[in-house]
Amino acid sequence: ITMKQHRATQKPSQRATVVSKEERVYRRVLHLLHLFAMVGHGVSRNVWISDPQLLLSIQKQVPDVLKHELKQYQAHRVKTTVTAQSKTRKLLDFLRHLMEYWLKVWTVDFRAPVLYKKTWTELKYPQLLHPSKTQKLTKQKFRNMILTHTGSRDIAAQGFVALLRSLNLPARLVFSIQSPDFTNMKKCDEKAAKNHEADNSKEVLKPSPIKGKGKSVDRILARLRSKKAYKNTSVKTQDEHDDEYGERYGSWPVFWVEVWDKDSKKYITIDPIVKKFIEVVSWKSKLEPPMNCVRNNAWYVIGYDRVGGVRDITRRYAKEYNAKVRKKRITREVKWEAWWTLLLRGACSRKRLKDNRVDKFEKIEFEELELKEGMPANISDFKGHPVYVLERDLKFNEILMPKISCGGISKKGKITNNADKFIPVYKRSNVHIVRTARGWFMRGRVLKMGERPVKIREKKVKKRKGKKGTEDEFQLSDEENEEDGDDGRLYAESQTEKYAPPPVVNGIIPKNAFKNVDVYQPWMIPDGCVHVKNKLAEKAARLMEIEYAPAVIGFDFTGTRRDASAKIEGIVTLKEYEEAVKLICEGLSEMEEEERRMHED
Amino acid sequence: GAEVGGSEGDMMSQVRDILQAQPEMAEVVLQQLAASNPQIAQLIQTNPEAFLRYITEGDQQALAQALGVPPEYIEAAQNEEEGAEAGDSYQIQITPEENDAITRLCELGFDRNLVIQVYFACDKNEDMAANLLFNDHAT
Repeated sequence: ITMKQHRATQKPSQRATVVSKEERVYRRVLHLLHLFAMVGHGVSRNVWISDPQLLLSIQKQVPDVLKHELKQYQAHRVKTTVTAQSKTRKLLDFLRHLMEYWLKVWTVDFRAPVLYKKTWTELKYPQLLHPSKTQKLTKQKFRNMILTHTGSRDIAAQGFVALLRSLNLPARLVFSIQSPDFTNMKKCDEKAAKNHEADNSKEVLKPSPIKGKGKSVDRILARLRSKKAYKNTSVKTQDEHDDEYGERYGSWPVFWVEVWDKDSKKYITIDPIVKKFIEVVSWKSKLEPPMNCVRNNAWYVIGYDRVGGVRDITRRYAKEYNAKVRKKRITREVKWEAWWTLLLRGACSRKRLKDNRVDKFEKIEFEELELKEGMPANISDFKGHPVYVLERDLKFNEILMPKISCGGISKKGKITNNADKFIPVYKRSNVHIVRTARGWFMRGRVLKMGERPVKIREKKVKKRKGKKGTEDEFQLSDEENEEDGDDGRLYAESQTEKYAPPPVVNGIIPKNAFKNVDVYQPWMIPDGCVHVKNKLAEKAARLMEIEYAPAVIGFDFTGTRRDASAKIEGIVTLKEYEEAVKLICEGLSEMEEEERRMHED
Repeated sequence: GAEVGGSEGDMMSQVRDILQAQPEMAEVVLQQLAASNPQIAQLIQTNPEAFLRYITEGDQQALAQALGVPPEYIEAAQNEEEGAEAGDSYQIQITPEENDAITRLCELGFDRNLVIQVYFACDKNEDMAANLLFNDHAT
């Protein structure tokens, strides 16, 4: 593979540990592209494991003992004399036996490629990645792997879903997408790439006693310190092999299975290959890796059902979704949350766009999980939390109204003053945006009589020095950018009312100090007037010698900070002139077009 | 993306290849793709729903067929076909399959008349038409 040099030229500043702005944008774009590709990959695999012919062939392979057990379960389910719990129990037993069967027959191909989380350094220097077999799957090859029970751990899990579907169980393929972490702002580790090259050249000259390429010094030392070094390195035990595999690709699953249990109205989670485990998640899933896990994170977990329904089910596998996981996802920003929703819609079959009964049960479950999560345990986790907020994390343009706390947390560590011990916690729904009078006017609102500012901002917001964290800033609410007319006095929306433009008197349109009309919102056009947005409208109105005023629709802050230039779009004029102005505009544009053609010829 | 015009359906088939055959290579291929075809990164960011549906349409149809084709989908296609015939000055016979292809291309955000022209100019090669539309007509 030849890598193209696509990154914007990076200045090799040695000191900075945080990446440049271009690199941030680049990482975010790649994150989005990867999410897109992986959501699509899930669609493709989910369709392959629903293929009727494949399912028929799998069904034929299922041992009679298991088929018999399924019949017994089905017979048990229709009984009215037994409890729902006993039905669930029987299903769980059956699923465990199926899992044991699959484990026994499946041979995991450890050389086959698998999905796992890659670091930015590895993406920049792909030579650092562990080489695996190249594998180009077709539907036919995939089918053969499933029927001969050989392939990577990923394919094994996919095959297990097919097995369940072949027995007509409502099984969902669960895919935990491992996109590179866009919130990671650390620079690529250039040293690792150099070390890798050095290691490789050494190996050519003098074969090192430890096998495998790309061992950094640290890892060699770690191996020497561990007991493994004393054992014969050429013959690995199965456990050692598993350890190494887990170190490379993570010892957590990327694909697993959920089966809907109609009796308990819950999904049963099965990881048949990696953790070899069945659970009904009620609080903390055994499949959730720790937050700092390098190779696997349950940050985007998607469920694909057998009729093509696609749902985001991360909430089930992320115990601290609001406090931690949400901040790692692109959906932490409103704009990208909408993007993610649309992406999943595009992946979902048309039949399943609307929620069905199972979805409704699941939604209730997720709401319960959210309540269970409650308040974060750490002060730092309140930052950017969607439900709770601390006063210290408020932005300059935010205020608590009403300021009633919903609880509190105790400060840890040394406390000098007893009053500081308890920090009140507020609901984010009580946070309101405050703006300057000018800011409100830009939104078509004016202050009510006699209102006093609820907050006064100090003149200059100090730039935070030295505190360049690894995480970039993101917003839960919209940010102000209007500098002009800023006296630092901030008001809440409840202190304002909708702007009513002054009336037209004697055919004269009331104008502002610059002889314009402010039309930031549609209701700012005076009664009896229209806003003609055509570029040529002003020229037309001047020619016609009618009453008009240029319409200001906003400001441009692209220039220097202090002078914002008014953005003008068309004119405001009396309603009776509307048709005439539009006609003249058309005429003018035709004339211009003709002139241009004359010039060209 | 000058190279795309020459090799037909290249961009689209590369994306499909990641999705179906080589997801393990996704990061590497996407880096190359984003560098050589900036419009694809743009499209994924601005129109994720239509583009993903477009790319996975073949798979989705296979699933729909296995489950029984949803009738509302065929109905919608037929209605649009009638509408096109009634209002058009030039006569092109469009089969339901072709109409589906045209509808899919339109969903990517292109004008129907433009799509019809490009689609037939590309000898009814849907991917090639899509590439051409993205290269020359994407705004």
